[in-house]
Amino acid sequence: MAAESQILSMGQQFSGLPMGALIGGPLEAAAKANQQMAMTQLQFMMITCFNENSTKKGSYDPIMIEMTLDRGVIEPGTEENGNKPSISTMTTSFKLPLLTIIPLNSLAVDDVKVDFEMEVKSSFASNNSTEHKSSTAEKASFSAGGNVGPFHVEVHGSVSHNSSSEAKSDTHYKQSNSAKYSVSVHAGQLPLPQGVKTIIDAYAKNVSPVTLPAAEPVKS
Amino acid sequence: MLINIECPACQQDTIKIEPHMLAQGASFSCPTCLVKISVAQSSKNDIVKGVEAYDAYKNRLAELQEQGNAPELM
Ligand SMILES: [Zn+2]
Repeated sequence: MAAESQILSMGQQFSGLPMGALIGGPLEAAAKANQQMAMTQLQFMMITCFNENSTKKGSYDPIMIEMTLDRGVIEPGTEENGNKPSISTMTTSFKLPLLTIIPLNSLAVDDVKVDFEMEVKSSFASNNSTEHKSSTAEKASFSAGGNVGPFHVEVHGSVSHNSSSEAKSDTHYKQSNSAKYSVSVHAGQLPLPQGVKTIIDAYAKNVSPVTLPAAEPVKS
Repeated sequence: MLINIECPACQQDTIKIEPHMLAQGASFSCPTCLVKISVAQSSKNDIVKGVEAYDAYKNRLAELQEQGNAPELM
């Protein structure tokens, strides 16, 4: 039938829609912001927490902060003070990397939600002498997952469409086609890379104290 | 923001420190063995500079996070 060729199929109707831009646009903007955050984090870490080694180019040493540790020590009494025990303060020192005192916080783009519904309609009408009546209805849903930049992305959607055509004896022919497209995109933050966590943990745990050579107990 | 550091003396507990207060000279205690830690005079400048850089970094991150959480539809 000549009229049927003038109505668009469901596939054709959706092919003209900028789905990539509609879903990808906001996600890309969020991913870009997240990438900039990662760069800022890296710059902060390298510039503030490390010094480039002057003898070995391309090698970075963590900036160490010297900390003092005071603890009370009970000293047994001597004959001079009548065997009265006394408490003195012992000072030792240890070094901590600056990185572990002001660690990289895990600020990041929380998640991105893109929800939208589209309805596409196509119809055609003409006078026709052929008698014809039919109707179809379809419903489908889909879901997909993957990674976009630092995000894990899940896309859920559903498509439903109705088709109907009728022709009344010899006067009128009408055909319509409509489809609803609902899309829900959810992108969640991927966790901090294990390697970065391991480095921070290793630094944080490696804090063995050293006794200051000049430390003298302070009698209290 | 509190940072947990494993106590270097008893290694049984964590000492919670606040970087800004630490940079201002505050000391923090281990709840188990009661040792006190603070920044040595020789590292005062380093920690003050580090905390200032950290604040600038956090502000920049907050701006980017806002942009990322409310992306504009292209
Ligand atoms: Zn302790």
